[in-house]
Amino acid sequence: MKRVFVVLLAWLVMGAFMLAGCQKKESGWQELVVGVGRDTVDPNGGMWESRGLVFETLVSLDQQGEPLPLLAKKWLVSADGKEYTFFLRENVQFHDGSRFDARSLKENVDRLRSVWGKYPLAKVEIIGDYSVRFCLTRPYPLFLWHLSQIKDGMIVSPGALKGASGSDVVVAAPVGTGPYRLKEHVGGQSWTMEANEGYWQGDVGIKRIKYFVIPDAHSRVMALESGQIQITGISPLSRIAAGDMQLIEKNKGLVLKHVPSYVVRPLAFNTKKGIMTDPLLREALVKAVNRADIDTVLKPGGTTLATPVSPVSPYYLKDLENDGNRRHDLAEAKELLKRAGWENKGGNVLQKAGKPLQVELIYSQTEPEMAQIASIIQQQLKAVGVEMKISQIESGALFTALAKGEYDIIAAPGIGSSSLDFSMDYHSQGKYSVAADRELDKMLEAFDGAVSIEQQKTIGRQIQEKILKDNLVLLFINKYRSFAHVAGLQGFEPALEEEVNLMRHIWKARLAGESRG
Amino acid sequence: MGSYIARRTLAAAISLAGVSLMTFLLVFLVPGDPAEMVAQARFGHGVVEWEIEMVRRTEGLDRPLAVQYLKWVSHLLQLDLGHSLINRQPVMSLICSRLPATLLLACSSLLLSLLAGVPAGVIAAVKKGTRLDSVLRIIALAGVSVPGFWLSYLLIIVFALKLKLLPVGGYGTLANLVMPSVVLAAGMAGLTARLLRASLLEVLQQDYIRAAVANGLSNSKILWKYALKNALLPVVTVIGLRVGMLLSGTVIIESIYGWPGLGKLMLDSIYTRDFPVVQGCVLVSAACFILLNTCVELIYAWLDPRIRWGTGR
Amino acid sequence: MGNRKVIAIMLLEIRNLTVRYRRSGDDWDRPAVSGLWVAVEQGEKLAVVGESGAGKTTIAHAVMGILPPMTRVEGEIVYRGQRIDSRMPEGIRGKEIVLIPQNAYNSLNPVLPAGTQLEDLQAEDGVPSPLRRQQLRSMLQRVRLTDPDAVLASFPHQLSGGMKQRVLLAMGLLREPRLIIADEPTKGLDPVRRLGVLELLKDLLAQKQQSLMLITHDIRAAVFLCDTVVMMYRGELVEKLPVSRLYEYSSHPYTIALLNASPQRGLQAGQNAGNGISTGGRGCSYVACCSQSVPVCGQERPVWREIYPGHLVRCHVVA
Repeated sequence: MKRVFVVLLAWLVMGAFMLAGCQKKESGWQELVVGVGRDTVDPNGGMWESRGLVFETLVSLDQQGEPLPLLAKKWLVSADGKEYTFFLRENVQFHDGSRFDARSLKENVDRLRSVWGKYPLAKVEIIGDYSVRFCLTRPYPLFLWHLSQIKDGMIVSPGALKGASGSDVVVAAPVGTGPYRLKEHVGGQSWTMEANEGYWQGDVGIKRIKYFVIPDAHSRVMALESGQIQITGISPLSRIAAGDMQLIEKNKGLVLKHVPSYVVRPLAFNTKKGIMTDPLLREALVKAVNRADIDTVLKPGGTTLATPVSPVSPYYLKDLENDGNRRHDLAEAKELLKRAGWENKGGNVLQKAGKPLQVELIYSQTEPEMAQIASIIQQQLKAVGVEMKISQIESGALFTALAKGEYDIIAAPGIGSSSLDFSMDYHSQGKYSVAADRELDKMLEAFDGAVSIEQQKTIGRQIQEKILKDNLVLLFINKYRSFAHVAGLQGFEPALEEEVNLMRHIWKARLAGESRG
Repeated sequence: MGSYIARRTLAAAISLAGVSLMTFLLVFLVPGDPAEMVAQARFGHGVVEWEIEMVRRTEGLDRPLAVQYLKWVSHLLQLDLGHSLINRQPVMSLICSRLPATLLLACSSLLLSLLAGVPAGVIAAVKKGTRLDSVLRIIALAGVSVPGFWLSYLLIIVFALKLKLLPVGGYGTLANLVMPSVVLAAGMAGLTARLLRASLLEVLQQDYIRAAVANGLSNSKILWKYALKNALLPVVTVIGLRVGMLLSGTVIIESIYGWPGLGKLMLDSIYTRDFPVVQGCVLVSAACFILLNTCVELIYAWLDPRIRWGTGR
Repeated sequence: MGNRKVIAIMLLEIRNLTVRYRRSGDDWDRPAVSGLWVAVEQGEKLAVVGESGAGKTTIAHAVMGILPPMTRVEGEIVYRGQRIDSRMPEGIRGKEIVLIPQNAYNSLNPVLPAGTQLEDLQAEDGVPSPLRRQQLRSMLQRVRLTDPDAVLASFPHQLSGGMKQRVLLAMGLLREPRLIIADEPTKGLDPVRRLGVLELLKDLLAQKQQSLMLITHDIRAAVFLCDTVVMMYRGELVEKLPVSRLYEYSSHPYTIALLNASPQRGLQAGQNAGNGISTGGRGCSYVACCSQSVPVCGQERPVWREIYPGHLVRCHVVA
C-alpha cells in the first residue's frame, strides 16, 4: 500500500504545479486576444486574417459601397471610363521607413502581379511625385471597388518584394503602411500584432493584438466565455457554430453581431446533362420547396434568398426577391410534374416510362448546416413524390463532380455577388459554372464590358431575371458573418467589403475593462 | 546481434519507402485537382483560373508523377523535406515545431496512464472478488468506453468554465497539459488496469508463484518482484501499440484543446492537398512508430529473458 | 535407519485432514484427501506412496498452506505443538518446513536469474550481502552442480531439467530446514538420473539430522530413502509399515498390487477389476478394484488394526 501513497503524492505535486501555472496570466487591457481556427500567417496568403492590419489600399468603401479616399486622397475618372488618375497622400511611410509615393505604387503594379495582374491595364504612368495614371484597355466600372479590397489592391513596401519578375514575385515580409505590424509568430499556436506608432491616420487604440489558434469551433466559444479570448468569428476559418450562438446571446458580457455577407451559395441544378435538363421539372422542384423551413435552420447565422445577389450588394433587386413565380406552391408543383410526364403509379415515388423520379444532391462536408438543410429538402420533395438522395462528399471530390457534370443538384462554392462576378459560376466557359446557356453568356459578356455602373445595373437585372426564369437554381443561401466579442470592446466597425479582413478598422476601437490575472 | 540490428534497420527503411510511395500516390488518386485545392487554401474560395495555373506551374504539379516522386526522394536524401504549398514554410521546420508538442502530450499521457493504471490493476487483482475490485473494474471500463471528445468538453466545462482553474486551450504552461493528457490517459489507463489485472491473476496461479510462497517470501516481494514482471508482458505489447497511435496524432484532442501537434497538421494538409507536408508528416509518424516498436521489443526482451536468448542452451 | 530417539518428538502431526476442491458455485468435488491421520517424528523419514491423483500432493500443499483458493479444509495440522492449518505463523514456511516442488519445469520464475531467486531466500534470513555468494556456491556444489557461478547467472530456461531440479533442491536445503517435503523428486526421470537424484538426496539428508516426508509413486525410492511408508489410495491411507517389512510382509491388497505392478505397465494397480461387489458409497474405498473383496467390504468401512508393532492395516480381509 506504500505505492498508493506514492501515487497520491505524485498527483498532489502535479496539482501544485498546475495551480502555479494558473497564476501566470497576462495583463488585460492593452492586448486584444482573437480566437482563430488555423495558423494562416502568410503575407501572400489570402486567408491571413491580419493582412488588412498590415497593408492598406488606395481607397476604401463607405456603408453604401461608394469609394472613400484612403491612400489616394483624390482621383479622376475619364469620360470613357478607361483612364483613372490618382493623387496620392503625402507623408505616409511604410513600416520599414521607406516612403509611399508614385514610384512605390508603380513598383507594386509592375511586380506584384498576383494582386495587380487581374486588371485590364494598358499602361501605368507616373505623372508626378504623388500622382499616377492608370490606362485601361477597356472600361472597367468595378475598378475602384476591387481596389478597395485587400486581396485585390494591397500596397506593399517595394523593399519587401522578392523575386525575378512577373507572377513569380512574392511578398517576403509583411511590410505595409497599415496600423499594425507582425511582432511575433509561434507556429501553429499564435501570432501577435503590434501597433504602428507612427500610423498616418492617427492613434492606434489597442496596442497589441494576439491571434490565438484554437481549431475547434466549440472550444473557441468556450474560450470566449472563460475570458481567454476576447473576440472570435472574424474570418471564414474562425466561424462560430450555429449551435453555440444561443449560448453567446445568453451571456451578458458578450456581444454577438451578424453582418450580411456578399457570398451567396446556390443549390444549383445540372442544366447540362441528366434529369434536371427538363425546365418543367426544375420549376416544379423550386415550387415544392418551402424556404421558410430552411430559414429556421439557418437562423440567426444566415437566410435563404430567392435571388443570386446578397441584399448588401448594390445590384440587389428587391422586387425579384418577392417574385411570385418562385413562391412555394405545392399544388402547382404537382401540376407541373404531371405536365412533365411524371405519373403516380402507386407507391411514394412518381414514375415516367418505368423509371422512378430520383435525384441526387451533393454537398461538401465543410458546411455543417447543409446536412440539416438537405434532409429538410428531402422531406419536402418526398411530399410531391420525388425521391432525393443525399451525398456528402469531400470538397476535392465535389469540384471534380462539378467539373464533370456528375450531379443533379449541387451545393456549389460561394460566389462574390456584389460584383455580380457570375462569369465563374454562370458563364458556360467558367471553371465552376453551373450553366450552359449562350444567351446568358452573351449577357454576362455585355455585363463585363459595360462602361458605367448604371449600364451594369441594367444588364445585371436582365441576368438575374433570366437565371430566375430558367430556374437554374433551386434556392440560394446567404450566410451572415457572425462574430462575437466581449462587451468591453468598443468602437469596432467591421469592414463590410472584406470576407477575411473583417478587422481592418480595429485600430479605431478601444478595449475597456479591468486587467485579468 | 549486429546482423539483427542491420536486418531490422533494412526492414524499417523498406517500410518507410513503401509508406512514402503509397502516400504520394494517394494524394493524387483522391478526387480533386491538387493545384486547385492548394490555390483555394492559399487564396480563399474565390480563386480564379490563372491563380490555379500559377500554383500548378510554380510547384511543378504539371510534371509526370514519377518525376515528382523522384524529385521528392532526391530532396529527402539530402534531408530536405520540401516546402509547404500553402504557406511556403519548410516542411521540416513545420514538423519540428509540432513534433515536440505531440511527443510531450504522448509522454505525459503515457506516464499518467501508467501511474493510474498499474496500481489499479494490481489492487484489483490482489483484492479480487471484493467490492473494491468491482469498483475499479467499472471505472476502468468507463475510461475505455468514454469517447474522447465528450470527456474533453466535460472537463473544459467543469474546470475551465465553472471552476476557472484551467485554460480552455493552448500550449505552453503545465496547466495546458493537464486536460488533454487526462483525456488521453483515461482510455489507456483503463486498458492497462484491466489487462494487468487479468494477466496478474493468471500469473499468480503459476507454479513458480506457489513455490515462492512455499519458500516463505513475503507477499509484497512476491507481488512486485516475482509476479509483476511476468504479468507486464502482454500489457506492454498492447500499450506499445496504443502509444504508437498517440504519436501519429490524436486529431480530435488536438483540435479541441488547440494543441499544436502533428495530428492536426496532418489532417489540415490532407484537406488542402499540401502534399509535401502530408508526406513529411506520414514519414515522421511512420519513423516514430517504427522506433517505438523497436523500443517495445527491447523492453520486452528486458522483461522476458527467454526472448532475449531464445529457449534452450 | 537413522537415530531413533527413545522418546519420539512429534514434529508434524496431521489430524483428520479433509480437503475438498470447489468445482463451481456450491458444487464441491469428492474430497481429494479424506480423514487423514499422519505424523512425522523428528529425524524420521516418511514416505507417502500412491499413484497419481491419490491426493499426495494435496497433503504437501495443505501442510505448506499453498492450496489454491476455493478449497475447503477440515482438520488440524500441528507443527511442533503449533497449529499451522488456518494461519501459517512467521518463520516456519520456507524456513523450518520446505517443499521441493514437483514440477521443476515451471517452479522457477522464468524472468529472474537463478542466483537472484536464491539470494532472495538469503535476504529473508538476513544473510549479509558479502557472504551470500560464497554460501550459494558451496550449496550448489553440495547438490553437485559443477559450475556454480554459471548456474547462478543463468535464467531457468537456460538450465536443463536436471539442473533445475538441483537448484530447487538447493533452494530447499539452503535455510537448513527441520522438515523437508519432497514431492515426486524422481517423476519422469530415466533410471540413471533417478538413481543420481536419490543418491544425492540420501547424501544430503545424511549430513544433517533432517526429517523427510517423501511423496512418491515409486516404491523403490521410498525404500531407498525412508524408514516408514504409508500407502495412500484415493485420498485415504490404507496401510502403514516400516520399510523393512515392505517386501515380505505388506498385507493390504493395494500395497501388494502396487508392488507387483511393473513400471512398464504404468502402475495400474488401482484399476484391476474387482470381484463385482458394489459399495454404494459405504464400505472400503478399494473394493471396486480389490481381488480379495468379500461382501462385508461393500458394507462397512474397515478400521485400523495393528498386525505387528509399527505395522497397521485397514482391511476386513487381512486383519
